[in-house]
Amino acid sequence: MNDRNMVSVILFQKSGFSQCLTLLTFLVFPFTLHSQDLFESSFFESDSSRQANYQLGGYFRSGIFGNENTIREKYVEGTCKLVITGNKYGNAQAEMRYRASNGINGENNGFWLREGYVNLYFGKFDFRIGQQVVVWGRADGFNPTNHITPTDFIVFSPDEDDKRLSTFIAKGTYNCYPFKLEMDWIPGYKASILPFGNASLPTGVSRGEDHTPSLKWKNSSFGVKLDWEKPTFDGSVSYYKGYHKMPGLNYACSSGGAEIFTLPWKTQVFGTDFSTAAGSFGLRGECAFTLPDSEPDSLFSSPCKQLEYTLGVDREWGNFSLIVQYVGKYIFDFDKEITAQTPLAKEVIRYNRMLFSQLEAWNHSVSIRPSISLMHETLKCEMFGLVNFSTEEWFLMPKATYSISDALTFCIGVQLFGGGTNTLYGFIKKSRNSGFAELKLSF
Amino acid sequence: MKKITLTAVILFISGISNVASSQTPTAKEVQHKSIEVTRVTGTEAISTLIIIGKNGEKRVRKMSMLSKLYDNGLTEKKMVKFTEPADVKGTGFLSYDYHDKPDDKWIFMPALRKTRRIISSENAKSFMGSEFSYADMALPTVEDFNYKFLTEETVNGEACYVLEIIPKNKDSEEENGFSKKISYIGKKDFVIRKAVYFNLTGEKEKVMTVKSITEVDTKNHRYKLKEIEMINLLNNRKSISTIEQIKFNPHIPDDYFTTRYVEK
Repeated sequence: MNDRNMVSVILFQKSGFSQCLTLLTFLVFPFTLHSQDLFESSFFESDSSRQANYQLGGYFRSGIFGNENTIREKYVEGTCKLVITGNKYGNAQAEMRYRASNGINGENNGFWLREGYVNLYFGKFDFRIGQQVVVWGRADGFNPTNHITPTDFIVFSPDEDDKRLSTFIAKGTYNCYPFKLEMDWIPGYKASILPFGNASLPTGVSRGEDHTPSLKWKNSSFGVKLDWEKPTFDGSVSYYKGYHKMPGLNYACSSGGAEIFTLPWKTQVFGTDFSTAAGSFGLRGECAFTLPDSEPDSLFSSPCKQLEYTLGVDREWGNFSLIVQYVGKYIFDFDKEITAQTPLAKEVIRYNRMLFSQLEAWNHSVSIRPSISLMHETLKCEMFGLVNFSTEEWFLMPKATYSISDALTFCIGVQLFGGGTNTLYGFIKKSRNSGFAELKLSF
Repeated sequence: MKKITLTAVILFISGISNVASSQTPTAKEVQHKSIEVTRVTGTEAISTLIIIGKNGEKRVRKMSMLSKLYDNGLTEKKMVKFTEPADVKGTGFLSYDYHDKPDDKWIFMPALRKTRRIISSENAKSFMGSEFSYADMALPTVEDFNYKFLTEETVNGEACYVLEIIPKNKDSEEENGFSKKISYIGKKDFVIRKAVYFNLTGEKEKVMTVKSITEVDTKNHRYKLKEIEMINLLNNRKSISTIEQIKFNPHIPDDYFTTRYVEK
C-alpha cells in the first residue's frame, strides 16, 4: 500500500466517509501553471520564480475560557493551510488542524481536516468539491436561510467561524451577471453538535447511539440558490431539501432502561434575502419558511413548520459602526401545552422545544452589534447582543482584539447567556458563561 | 440642418478651449487636468503599504489591485485583494466609485465566508490604519472645492503650480477630512508632487510627498503615483504607499469587478 492509500485509509477509519472522499478529490486534480495577468498571478498563482506551486499559511493560538470558579476550557491549537496554486482553470486547498484542549467538554487531542477542496473554473461555471463550509444569508449572524453546513454549539472560541462545521459538498455555480445560480449537493449527513452533552440523565436512562442516515442517494440533501447582484441591490431566493442540520432528540425503551439518541429529520426550506443602501444606511433582510416533511411526532423530535425573518439596518460614523436587527419567528400549529405520558417523554419534549427554539408561537428578538476601531485600527472593540422578548432569553458577547504586531493578536472578552429554566440560553448558561483570553500567532 | 448646427457648436467650443489652452490655465483647470492625467482606463497593480508608528514600529500590508473606468470615466470600478499580512490575506474589497452618487462597496472576508455589502460614506477615515484616508485613494470631485493660485514653486526639481484648495461647504470638509489643502502640481505634466493638509480645526496636519511617478499609458500620457509618503505632523506617524508592479490594461474583463472574483 503506497503512502497516499495509507493516508486515505487512516482518514476513512478515523473521520469517516466525507474526509476520505475529500482527500481523494484533492489528490486527483493536479494543476499546471500558466502565465496569467498580473493581478491573477499575484493571487491565484505561485510566485514568478516558479520554484513552488503551493503556499503555506496558518496560525498557532492558545486560549482559556472560564469564570471565577471554573476553567471551562483551555486549549492550544495549530492550523496549517496548504494552497495548491493552480491556474485560471482551478486550484486546491486544504486546512489541517490540531487542537489539544481540556475542560468541560473533556480532554481532546487530535488532528482533523477543517477543509479540503478543489476549485475548478470552466468559463461561467465554477465548481468546488470537497470538505467545505457553505454559508448562506445576507443578515448579520441570524441567517434563517443558512442550512447547508452544520454548527458546533459547544466549541469554545472567540472566533464565530469556528462554530461552522465543514462537510463534503459538491458545489456548482453558474455565473451570468447579474445572476448567479448555485447548486449544492451534500451526499452524507453530518449533524450539528448539540449543547446537551453535559445534561444529567435520570436514573435508568443512558445515552444511545445517534441515528445517522446511511449513505444513499435518497438520504442526500441539496440546496439551490439564485442570486441577483446589481450595484444598488442584491438578493437571492433559495431552496433546500434534505436532512436538517439540527437533529431532534428521541428515546427508546428496552429491558435495560431507556436510551436517548438524536434523530435527524427531513425538511424543505424556502428562503429569500436582500441587501441594499438607503443613503448612509445599509438595509438587509432575510426570510425562510421551514416545512418539515412530516408532522411533529409526540416527542417533537422534528419541529412544527415555521417562518423566520430578519430585518436589519447598519450605519458607520467614522471608526464606529452599528448593526441593529429585528429577528422574528412564527410557529404554525403551535400548542404550548406539553402532554406526555411519562416524565422522560416530558423532558425530551422540553429539550426538543428548547433546541428548535419553539417555545412561543410568536418570537420577537432584537440584536445589536456596535463596533469601534481605535489606535489606528490596531484595537477593535465589538459587542454582540441579543434579547428575545418572547422567551426572555438574552446573549451578550463584548470582545476586544488588539494587534500587537502584524502577526500577533490578543483577544479578550466575555460570553454571557441568560434565560429561564426552560429556555436554551437558560440551560447552556450553566456551562458556557465565561470570560476568555486568546493569543494568536499567524504565519 | 441639425447636423450642421451641432458641428458649428463643436467647432466653437473647441475654438474656445484652444484659446484657453494657449493661456495660463485657471487654478480649477489645473486641478481638473491633474485629475485627468491620473485617470487611467484600466490598470493591474501590486502595491505595498508601510505604516510606521511614532516609535518606528512597522506594519506592512500588501495588496493586488485592479481598476477600470466606465461610463466615459465617470465611474471607476476597483478591486483590491490583500495578500499580506497573514491574518488579512484573502480579504477583498470591491467598489464602484461614482461621480455623482454614493459609492457601492462590498467586502469579502475569509472568516465571514461571504461577500457583504458595506455602507461607508466616511471617506475621511483612515485607510487600513495608515495616514492615508479613503478620500486620498479616490479621485476627488472638482466641483466640491474652491481653488486659488498661490504661487509657483519647485518641488524635487520640478516646477509646480501651487494651489489652495478649500472645500465648498461643511459636508465636503467632513467627507474629505480637511479644511484646506495646498497642492503642488507639475507645470509640465500636471502630476501632483506634494500636498499639505489642514485638519478641520485649521491645524497643519499632514504632508504628502510624491517620491516617484510612472507613465502608465504612454499614448494618452496618463500617470500613476508610484511612491507616495504621507507624514502626520501631529502624531509623528508616517505611511508609504509603493506600487511594486503596474500594468496598463484597458481590457480587464468586466467579470473581474463582480463578487465572484472577490471571493476567488
